[in-house]
Amino acid sequence: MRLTAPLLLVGSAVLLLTGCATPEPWVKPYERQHLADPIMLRDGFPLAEGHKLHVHEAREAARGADGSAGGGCGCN
Amino acid sequence: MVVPEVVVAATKVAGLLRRLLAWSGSARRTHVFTYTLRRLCAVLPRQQAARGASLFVSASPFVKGGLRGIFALAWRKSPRTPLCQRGDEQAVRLDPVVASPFVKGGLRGIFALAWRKSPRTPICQRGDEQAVRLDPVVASPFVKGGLRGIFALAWRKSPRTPLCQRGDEQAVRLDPVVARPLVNGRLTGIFAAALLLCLPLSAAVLPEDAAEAMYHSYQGGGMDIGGPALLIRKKVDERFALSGKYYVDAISGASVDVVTTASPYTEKRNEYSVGANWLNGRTLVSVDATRSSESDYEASTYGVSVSQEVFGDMTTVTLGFSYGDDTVGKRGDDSFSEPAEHRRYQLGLSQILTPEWVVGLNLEAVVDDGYLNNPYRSVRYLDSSAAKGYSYQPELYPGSRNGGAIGVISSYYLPWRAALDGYYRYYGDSWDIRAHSLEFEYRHALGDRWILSGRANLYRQDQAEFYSDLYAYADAQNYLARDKELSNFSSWTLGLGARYSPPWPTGWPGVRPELLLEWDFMNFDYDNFRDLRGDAPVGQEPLYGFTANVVRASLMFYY
Repeated sequence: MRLTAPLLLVGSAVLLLTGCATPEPWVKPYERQHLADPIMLRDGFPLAEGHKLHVHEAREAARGADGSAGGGCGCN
Repeated sequence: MVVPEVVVAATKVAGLLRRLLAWSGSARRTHVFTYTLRRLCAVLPRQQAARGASLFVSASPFVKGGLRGIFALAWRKSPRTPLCQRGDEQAVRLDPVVASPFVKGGLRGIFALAWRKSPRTPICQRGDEQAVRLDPVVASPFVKGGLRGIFALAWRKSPRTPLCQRGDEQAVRLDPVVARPLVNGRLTGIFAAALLLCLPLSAAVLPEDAAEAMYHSYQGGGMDIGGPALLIRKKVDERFALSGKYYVDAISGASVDVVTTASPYTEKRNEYSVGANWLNGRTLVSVDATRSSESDYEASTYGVSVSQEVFGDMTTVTLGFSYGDDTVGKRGDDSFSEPAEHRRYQLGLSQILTPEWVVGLNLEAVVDDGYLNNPYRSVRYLDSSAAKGYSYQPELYPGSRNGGAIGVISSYYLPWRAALDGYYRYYGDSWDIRAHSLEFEYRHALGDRWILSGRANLYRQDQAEFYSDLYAYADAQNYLARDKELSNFSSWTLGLGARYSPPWPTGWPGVRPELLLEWDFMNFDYDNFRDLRGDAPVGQEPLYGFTANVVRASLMFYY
């Protein structure tokens, strides 16, 4: 497993506390090919994702904080 | 004869290489080129065609006219994709060796596309090396926060030498010696030459142009809801995009809480939506407006959100607000018209933690004011004078409702090309409703064309403070509700999905379809909402529960 990131995080925190440096971004753009993989996308099909959220929201009292952009369904 | 054909082809290639070199003004490359050409010329007349051809393709991504290795990958995965991009600027260097996309006298595939459409402007020069800017006709290998696929691979494995700097932009060179050709997943020399200088420029890009057509269906609890939906989004340029949406809910049947007091009905809800996205550097501004109409309910919603990438693009902060203005009507009563307003305030934080792990935190406040109940729904109360032992009266809700939700999400990339998401949300509001949502989703790639997914969702809520299935007498409280969605209940959902990218003619570069089929099975169990359709004694009726099947079929077309 990758230990670099946590180590960097801890290291950066220590540096920050000692006043030597601020944390530097530790995941470089060229290391993000996995995060950029379409398989990581939940909303690859916006209509389908919207419908999924709508089906839940219309039958549950809870709403919001699901990461979708605002808007209402006009339903009651 | 074959040999003269090869010679002719080589001559044409030579002409194009010369043009390329004239443009780049590279003395070193001229030397390399001349050397290569000399080798070709020396070999071709004497050797067999195969020998000559193999000599040529040894410096080419083409094997007998076809793309190979990394280039094939690039072509398949990133149509219309340039090497790197920031806003509307691109730094690209083509090395003479990359002239290998020139085959039989012409540029091919993605190279031809990019080359033909892209004016080139020198950005900076150091010695005999030059970085140029291509017009952003083509998207970038940066997709939502990072280099993707082969580009990232090359970048990670290759040492980088800074070439030149302009402002906060830097052109670097990947060392062609170390970055070896990519065959079967390993880098090879040509590729290094192809990639050359790319810098980690801005990751922010607008979504690809696409059109989505969906059919959706929900069946359960006596309700049958279905209809089509259509979405089109189109970039005006690299910074500005527009979208339009049309969505239909055709509803028939009646849910159990009105079936005992009202007749079944059919209804159609039309929803129209327009939106715009504006990307400025690392800032994305989105606005949208939605209009929803049905015979007894009109709703207009306006939303705006601002998203900012910070901390080396590892963190994305989003602020959003939406305002909804509804008019509630009642079938059979034209004089009935009540307003309702909804305001939603959103704060989102997305954080990349490792190259495989991204987490998010979402906070949302929802404020509702106005007529919030349903004009058709009734509550029941004990009435010994009634035959069944109870009577009905209209429900009555408070005129305001303030809710808040906090959601956390985690997405993890698994090394066999799969993804695991976890999501939890807590919701509470001024009606005393408390709810927990928990969801896991696993997506698994099968080859290059299929992505299968499985989803499990658990939901639990506690009732609104004024809810009751059976009140002791009429007007028992200030507020009355017998909506099962305000009761104590639990539900779970299991979902399966399949995403498929069918083979598509490469003669249509940049256009590709994708299909999605999803099926959800939902189960609801109510703790204090009773099913009144039987003849059980009052207050002893069986608790209600139902299952539902939800199907979505979607066709996406990227263009």
